[in-house]
Formats: sequence, structure tokens, C-alpha cells
Amino acid sequence: MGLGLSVVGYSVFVMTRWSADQVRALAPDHASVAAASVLAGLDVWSQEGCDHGAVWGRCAGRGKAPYDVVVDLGSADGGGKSAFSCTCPSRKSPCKHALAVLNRWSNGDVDEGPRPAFSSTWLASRERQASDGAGEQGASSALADPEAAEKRAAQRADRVADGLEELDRWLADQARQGIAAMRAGGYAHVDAIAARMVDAQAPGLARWLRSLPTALASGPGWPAAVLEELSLMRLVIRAHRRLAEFDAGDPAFAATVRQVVGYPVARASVLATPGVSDTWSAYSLRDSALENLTSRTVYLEGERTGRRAVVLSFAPTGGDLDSSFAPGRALIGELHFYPGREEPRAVVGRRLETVPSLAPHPLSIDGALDEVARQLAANPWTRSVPLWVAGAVHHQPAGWVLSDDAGAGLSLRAGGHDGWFGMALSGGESLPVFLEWSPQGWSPLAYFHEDTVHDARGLLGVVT
Amino acid sequence: MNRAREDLTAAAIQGTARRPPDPSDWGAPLGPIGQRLTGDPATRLLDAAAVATVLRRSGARASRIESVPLSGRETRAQAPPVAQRILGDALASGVPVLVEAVLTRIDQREELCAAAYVPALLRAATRGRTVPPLWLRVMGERGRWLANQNPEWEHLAGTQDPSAAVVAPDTQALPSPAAEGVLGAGRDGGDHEDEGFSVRAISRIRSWFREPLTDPAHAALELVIPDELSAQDVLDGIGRPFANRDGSGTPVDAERRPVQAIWVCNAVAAAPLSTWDDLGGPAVLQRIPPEIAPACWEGWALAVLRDSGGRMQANAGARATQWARSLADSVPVTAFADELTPLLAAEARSHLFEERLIRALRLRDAAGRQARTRLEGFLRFCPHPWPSMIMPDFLDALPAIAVVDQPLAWRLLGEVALHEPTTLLDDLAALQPLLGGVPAIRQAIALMSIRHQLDQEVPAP
Repeated sequence: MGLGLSVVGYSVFVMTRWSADQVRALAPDHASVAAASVLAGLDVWSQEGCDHGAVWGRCAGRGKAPYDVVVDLGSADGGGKSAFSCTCPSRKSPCKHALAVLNRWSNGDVDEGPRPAFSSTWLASRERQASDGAGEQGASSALADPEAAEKRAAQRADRVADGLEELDRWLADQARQGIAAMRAGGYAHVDAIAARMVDAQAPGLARWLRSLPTALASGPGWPAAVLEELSLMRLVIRAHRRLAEFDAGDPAFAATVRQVVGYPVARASVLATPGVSDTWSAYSLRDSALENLTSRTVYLEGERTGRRAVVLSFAPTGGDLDSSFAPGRALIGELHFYPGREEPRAVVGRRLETVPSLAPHPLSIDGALDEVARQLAANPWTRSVPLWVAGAVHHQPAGWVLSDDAGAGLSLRAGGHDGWFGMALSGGESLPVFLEWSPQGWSPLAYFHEDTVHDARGLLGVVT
Repeated sequence: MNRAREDLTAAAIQGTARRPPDPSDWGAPLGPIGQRLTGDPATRLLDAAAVATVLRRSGARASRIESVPLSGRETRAQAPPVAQRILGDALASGVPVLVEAVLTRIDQREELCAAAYVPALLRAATRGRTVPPLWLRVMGERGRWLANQNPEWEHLAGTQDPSAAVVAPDTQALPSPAAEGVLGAGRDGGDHEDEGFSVRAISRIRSWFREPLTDPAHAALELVIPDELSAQDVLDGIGRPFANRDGSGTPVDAERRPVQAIWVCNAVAAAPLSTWDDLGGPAVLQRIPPEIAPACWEGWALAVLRDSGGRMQANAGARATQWARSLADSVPVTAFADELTPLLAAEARSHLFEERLIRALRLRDAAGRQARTRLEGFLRFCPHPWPSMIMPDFLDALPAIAVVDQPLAWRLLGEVALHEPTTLLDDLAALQPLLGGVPAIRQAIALMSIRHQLDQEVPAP
């Protein structure tokens, strides 16, 4: 992305052009990549230019007026997050026009120049927003009243405690009456107590409760699956009752309990904690949509520390998600971790440079199982443990398996695409597989083959 | 552990009010924990289940797996990254011709696609009975190995000799029908209002294909015979669409005649050129019924163009002039007589003559059904690259064609994108605003762009 040069206390940010792979990694789908590749080669561009923080151009489209395409390369907001603006009607972000202008810039087809009006307006608004945000943040911390904040926190804790006691009674009622009745009650049955948790300011538990119908409909094993969820909710209630004790003796665990319940943690407070400097390789990226919100999960691993991290970003549907990470690229910089035991969630602090991802250091299958056990011992509510495991992917009558050189095997939750894709890369030989453990099993997220990180979903485009 | 979980689950389903859990039977490690728990049965159930849950999740053990056979050693090198990227784009597009174009280039360079693309290619290949040999060569040992691992793909790995391409046998000499008998068949009925005349003419033409039939001829038929009439129908001499509906000689309705004329044209065009020597020359043409004359002439012109590199080429100029003059004489009222006359007078060279004539015939009314269909037929038979004079007309006509018949526009664009020089890329792109959302223009541009990229970055050896 850029190269940070420290000069006696000052940071000079020199923007280097992105590689073609970096541009491709931004694309929302393969079709956009293909379309942008074509568009970049056509004689439809005018008023192109770039500077240290942005690329812009006008693309003749179907309408009379050309599309104004502007890409903020990420220096404007100080956080390295790129953003895209295009007057085309596409709902994809970035659209093919933005990808195409980036392709041209990456190829050296776009020269530096002054910002034209159509780009400067939008870029200026972004810079203004960024500086306003920084100002507000400073102002809010300056105006913060510690006493009032403490009072609000205490009120919230009381409210949460009341809510959790009510949830505990509800859980006991389910166990007493039998979860067969719960299944018959459907969503409405769960929604009422979930709404109560929202009122009690325990949104984490509310979300968890709203996911119960999925377990109720999970097939023949649903009773065991539902019982597991209810019992772990009961466990968090018991832990919450001892929160003061944990705050004194094991604050990391107290933070984990709060995180499960859904206590808010201000991003600013996370950024205020010491950052962990490393070369953070991004190995997988997953987007998901829920109602009007899109979220992006990026899985990272530190080269020096070996620490695994998850960076989340959210945007309204159709909005820009953080596109500064791409599988196969690594960030040299700092991550700040949320509080909690073995907590992987982090926010990005200082960014220095992006480089190609480093080769992973995979565990054996037995080693991976031990690692999951260790993480569950630290945080029994853990629902995701991503790690690299070495093995060969193959298909057996019972389903997909990963086997390592020691003859150990692991069942995989792979679909046709993921499995055959992994098997094709593997060719019967061991390769590093980025797996995510979840209570439902092991799912491949990525493969490392011939020095390249491959998304486990493989090529989703299908020739018809 | 299992006993404990079963007991806990059974209690949870029925409810502890009816069936409390019984830790005495759980065994280690949960039994002692369960017996120490206090409180009412419901909370004891949940607490014990929490412990069981964490134990289950953290206590998984690996199974033992037998090793699988390894993929064979490759004899070809892998294609360069840029070729792999282009292949990825082509696969992502979902358009078979794009994929085929890239695979062909990789094969020409005797290289392999990356293993990452093998599943997508095999998945695509399941739509056919066999993997095209080209694909197998490009997928290499990894492709065959992977196909053998999947029962759904196993049959795709069965091609014995992946280097063997399907080669059609040479065209064989066909029986020589009496041209006068064929083209003058309409006279036999004595009534030009009776569609029987064209039925018989076509039947005779069809008969040329009956024995022996070669693959190229068959393929040509597939191209020119409309969808509703299979090549096999023609070969079998059934020709139901040509026949009267009740077989009694009742005239078919007038609306079908233009369509039938097109089929005559197509069938004549599909006839091997060797048979044209048997047609008897201008004398026959002068006796062609006016209804069928333009179609026959057009079919003949198409046949000449199709075989422009063949043995007819040498004589095409003289023959065209001679035949065209005869045709002009034989058609009392023709829309293109004005076009023909100056050409004939100028004794133009054959290929220019053909181009001008074809343009006059087919591009005058590009939006009309007959003209559109003829344009397609012409372009299908015309060897690539198309005559330079045709391309501007084609590009001009395309928006009008797309408005009336999008599928036709798509097919024609496909032809352009697949065979014409990539220098036309900008011309095609310029059509995009005119054609709006026609997917084929995007596809054609993509195909031409991929061909251009291949030429630039992955040149053929």
C-alpha cells in the first residue's frame, strides 16, 4: 500500500502503486474482475489522474454522461481504508469501473496530476469527515465525565444482571418442561426472551438466543445441539454472577464474559491498548449479510508472534467494507486486541507497509486438536478457532477428510466446491490448509499451494 | 461420556419435571461431577450439560486414515501466471468459447493449466459425454487423477488417447443428380402455386446427402437447417416442414413461403460444390422458377464463398459472371437487378463481385426477417476473416438486428469475437452504447479482449 518512512519524528507516506493482485483482491466477485479487465483495455477513459492518495477517471458508459470514478487509496482517513465512488448505477462496491481505473493505475497507464472537480469534491468530503471524526473523538474524550461514566456503567451492570437472572429462570423452565416444547414454539418462543435481553442491554445473549432456531432445525441431532447452547448460556450467567471476583483475579476472563454478554467496548479504548507489532498475513476473508448490514471477517496470523487475529468491519448493505486486507497480502504494522482470554478480535493501528503473505506454519492434526482444546479451556464460549493444518484433502464415502503424514485424519465440513478444489491442489500430497474449527466441525477456509493463498471456495464461476 | 450425554439429552427432551437426569450411571469423568452438583434438577441438568459440552468440543481425537494414491508426474510445464489469470477470468465469465480460446492457446504452447482450475473444468465437462481431448491435455495428469476420484467425473478420465483430436474424413464424391431434374422439379408439377415444386426440389437436393454422408457435410447441414428441422430429418428425406400438412398436395399457406425459400437457399448452400458441376450451368438457371431462383442463387453464392480457398476459387470469377448474368436474365423482376447490372458490365473480379452482390442481397433490409436470416447464413459460410467490405455493413446493421432478433445478434457477435481480428475491439466497444444491455456484446468484447490479451501476453509458439 505504502511505505512509511520515519524522519526524525515525522512520518512521510509515500504511495506506491498496487499490484494487479491487490486490485483483484478488492473485487466483490469474479465477474467484476473479468469485466474490469476488459474495461481497462478499452478506449473509453478520459480525465484520468492520480496523486498520493487517490486515483480518478471518467469512463464512457451506456448513458450520455460518462461515469465519474474516484478511488480513495486510503491515506485520506489515516486508517488505510480505501473507498470508492462511481456515478454508475451498479450496487457492487467497488464497481467494475473503479476496479478498471485501479487496473490502469496499477499498470502505469494513469499519470499523476491535479484533482479535477469531479474527484476533488468527493475526496474533500472524505477528508473532512475523517478530520471531523478525529476532532469529535478528541472532544468526546475531553468532555467525558468519569463519574457519570462510572455511574452509567454501574446502572448497566445492574440491568444486565437482572436480565440474566430472568434468562436463567427461562433456561431452567426449558429444561424443566422439555426442549421438545421449545421446538414446537418456534421463533416466537425465543424472540420474546431475546427481546428481553435487548432491553437488559445484553445484546450478545440476544443474538445468541435468536440463533437458537437454527439449532432447533439442525436435523436429527437437534436436541443435543440445543442442549449445548442452553447449557453454555447458563454457564455465562454463572460466570457473570462472579464478575467482581474475576475483575479482581482474572480480568481477561472477566472481559471474555462481558464480551459474550455483549457489553460494548469502545474502539478508541482498544486502540489505546499497546499494539502488537508483527507481519500480519491475511489468509482468508469472508463477507456475510444480515438484514441491512454487511460484515467482513478477515483472518490474520502474525509471523513473529504466531498470534491469530480476526478483524471485523461492518457497513450498510452496499456500503464500503474495509478493503485494506486481501488474502495473500500481509500488513506490517500493529494490531490492538480486544480484551479477553485468547481474544482474536483486533483493530488495526499503525500501518507501515503491505507485502506478500508469508508462508504459514501449519500444525499437525493432533497439534491442531490440542490447540482447540487449549483455546476452549481458556474460553469455553469460543465458537471459532482458525488455524493452519498440514494434510492431504481427499474424499471418502463418509465425506471429506484431511489426513496428515502421521496417518491422523480429520473430518471436514466441506462442500463439493471446497473439497474438490482442495483435493485438486493437494494431488494426494500434504499441503497447508487453513481450517476453522467451530462447534459443528472443521471447515476449510483457504489452501496454501505453490506460494499462493487460495480461497477454499475455489473458482465459483461455473462454465455453462 | 456417551452414556452421560444420552441421559442428559433424554432428560432435556422430556423435561426434568418428568425425567430428571441420573448421574449415578454416567461413569467418568462426568459422573462424579454430576453427583456433586446441587440445586433443582433443571439447573443441575444445564450445569452438567455445560461441562459435557466443553468436554466434547475439546476432546475430539483424530481418526486413522489410509493414504490415497498420488497424482501422476506431469510431462508438461505449467502455463505462465498471466495465462492462468486469463483462464481464471474466462472461467469466471461462464462463457465456454472464452474458456476454449484460452485452453487452445495453452495447449498450443504444450503447457498445463494450474491445478486450481481443474475442478471447474471437470465440472464444466460433465455437461458433455466426454472431456474434449484439448481439455484433458491441458489438465494433465492432475485432471485425470482427480476425475478418477469422483464417481461423477470418472467417465471423463476414460479417454484413451487424449492427443487424438476428432478428425473428420475428407468429403467424398456425391452422386450426381441431374441438375435440370432437380432445379426444374417445380416444372414437373406444372403449377407454381403449388408448394409441391419446392418440396420436390428440396427432396432431390437432400438426396445428395443420403449416401455416403461425411461429417463435414453433416455439420454443414446442422448449421443451415433451422431448429425445427433436424439434419436427420433432411437426411432421411422426410422434410416434413416442406411437405403439405396432410400429404395430399394442399398448398401450404403463403406465410411459409419466404421461410421455405430460405431453406432452399440453405440446402443449396450446404450442398458440396462438386455437385454444382452437375447442375448444368446457365441454361438450367434460366429455367429455374422465379420463386426459387433467388434462393438458389444465394445458396450457390454462399457455397462459393464457403469454399473460397478450394478448387472452385480458380473458376469463380468466370463462373460467377456467367451464372449471375443467367440469373439476372431468368428473374424478370428482382430487387437487386439494378445492383447486378453494373457489376456484370464491369466484369469485376470474382471476390469483389461476390462481396458487392452479397451486400446488396442481404444487407439492404437488415431488420427484415428474410434478410436477417440470410445475413446469418451468409456470415456463417463466409470464411473468416470476413471480407473487409462486409464488416462495416455488419456493424451498422447489428443494432437493428438486435432490436428485432437478439439471439441472432448474439450469435453473429460470437462469430466476430471468435474469429475476426482483435483490432476490431474498439469498434465492438463502440457498439455497446447502441446495443445497451445485450449480454452478447459484453461477451463478444470479453472474448475479443481475451484473444487480444493472449496474443499480447501468451503468444502462440
